[in-house]
Amino acid sequence: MVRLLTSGLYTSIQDGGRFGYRSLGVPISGAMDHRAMMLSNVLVGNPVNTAVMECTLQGPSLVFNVDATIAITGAHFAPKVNRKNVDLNTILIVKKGDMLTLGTSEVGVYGYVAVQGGWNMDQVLGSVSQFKGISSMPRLVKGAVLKVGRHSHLNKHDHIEAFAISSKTHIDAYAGPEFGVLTKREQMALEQTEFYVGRESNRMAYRLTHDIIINAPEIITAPVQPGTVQLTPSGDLMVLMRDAQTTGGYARVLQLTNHAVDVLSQKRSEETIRFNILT
Amino acid sequence: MKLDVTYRVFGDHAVLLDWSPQINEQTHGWVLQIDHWLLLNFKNDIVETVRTYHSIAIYLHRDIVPQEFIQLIKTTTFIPSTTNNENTYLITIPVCYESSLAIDMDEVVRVSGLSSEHVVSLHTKVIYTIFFMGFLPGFPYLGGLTKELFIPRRDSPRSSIDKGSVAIGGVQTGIYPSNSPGGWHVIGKTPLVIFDINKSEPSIFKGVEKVQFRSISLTEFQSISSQVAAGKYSLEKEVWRG
Repeated sequence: MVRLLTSGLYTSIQDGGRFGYRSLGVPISGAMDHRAMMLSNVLVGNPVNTAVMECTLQGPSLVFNVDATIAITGAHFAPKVNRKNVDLNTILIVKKGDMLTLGTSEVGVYGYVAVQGGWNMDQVLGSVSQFKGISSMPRLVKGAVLKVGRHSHLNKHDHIEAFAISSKTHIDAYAGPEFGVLTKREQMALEQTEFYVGRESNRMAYRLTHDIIINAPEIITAPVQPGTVQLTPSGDLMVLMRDAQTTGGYARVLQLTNHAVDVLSQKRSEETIRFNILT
Repeated sequence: MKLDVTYRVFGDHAVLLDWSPQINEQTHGWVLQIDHWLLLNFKNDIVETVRTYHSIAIYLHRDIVPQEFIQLIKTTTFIPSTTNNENTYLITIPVCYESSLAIDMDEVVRVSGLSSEHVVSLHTKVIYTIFFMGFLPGFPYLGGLTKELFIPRRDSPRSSIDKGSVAIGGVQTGIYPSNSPGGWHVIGKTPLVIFDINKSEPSIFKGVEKVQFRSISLTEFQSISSQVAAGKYSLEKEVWRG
């Protein structure tokens, strides 16, 4: 058993996502940074989409009531076990009674704690990813108690070199279904402008702030997915993220690659990005 | 499949099919047929689909190349199926339109110039088509609203609309499956739980049904609420024969 002494800013259990129910309007959810989630699972020897604990900017403190093998990846939190600094992107052994404190992220937004055997939580519609309206608890709160799953028998890796969250500021994207609605000038502006990640960014969408003149009329409600970049009639740009709705009524000007969604998810408010439009 | 459709890649692992952008029964009919055909014939390639008024997003497994999938469906003969017509149901949803549960009725009366009785009779006389599900888990987009009830959405959305609220917005009407912010006008409330995650089939709609509303009193609302809570309510449902 593992207990949360403090919850952190927004901590939840996420896995590879909830598939098969989008036609009923159920978002896919899942880890914001899939690559970091997968890495944490690979380190401890879990299948890559095993449930991990996702921490946001300010992490939780956990007390382990069992011995466990864990790994922490993603954003650069300052994790400590019993007040002693520990490394990211490596295997860590914690003992019964140990306290893990994630601290505050210095680089990036989302950090992942994988435990060998996975975090045990009831599946809802085939996934443990916590989401308001689907999960009985939309996120982890102070005092929450989690169980650790059975050990898997995959090979674990002691350490993975050359893994850091991407410092790239270029976000790869395809032209979206309504890209052609934009004027040539607007299309060029979309590619050449430096956008700021806005404060109102969360698991549903990242807002991009800018001072260019660009807009598009509303569309008849149509499918959207994580990585869809929506442009509103008043010029707001929003990149839909993992908890996005399944359909939307704003122009879909770009569609990020899967990897670009991971990269963007780690950008903090006031950081800048540019779109690299793939042809 | 040769149809009046555009085929496009939609990100790394998806394909988007688009008919000309309009909201009508004919386009909806095509979307339903093709969606059904895709799910039946390419189930090994497709994770799931999301259909809307005039589009289908086809989300593919990661080992499927979207461009190749487009070629595949373009060169496969489309055979219209009759099976999805057989299973269309008309579901009757009881709604209490009394003022305590219809927070925006006064506004609708003011804007439309109709009496509240007239609003209720217009809203209950139509058989609506579920065009698709979206916005919230279990939210049905219903088409077929009478013109007299076309009212622009609220200027500023309400921060919370109660679960079960029945609302009108623009040319559409819908039912809120959970508490949520929303910009439509609430004209009543159903005692039914239309999306319940604890059931094996969480949504009472699959997204292909016809829906009609039936006006009930506050007393009936309370009685049905307790039947629902006790798991003793059976949905009013019949096969739809067009």
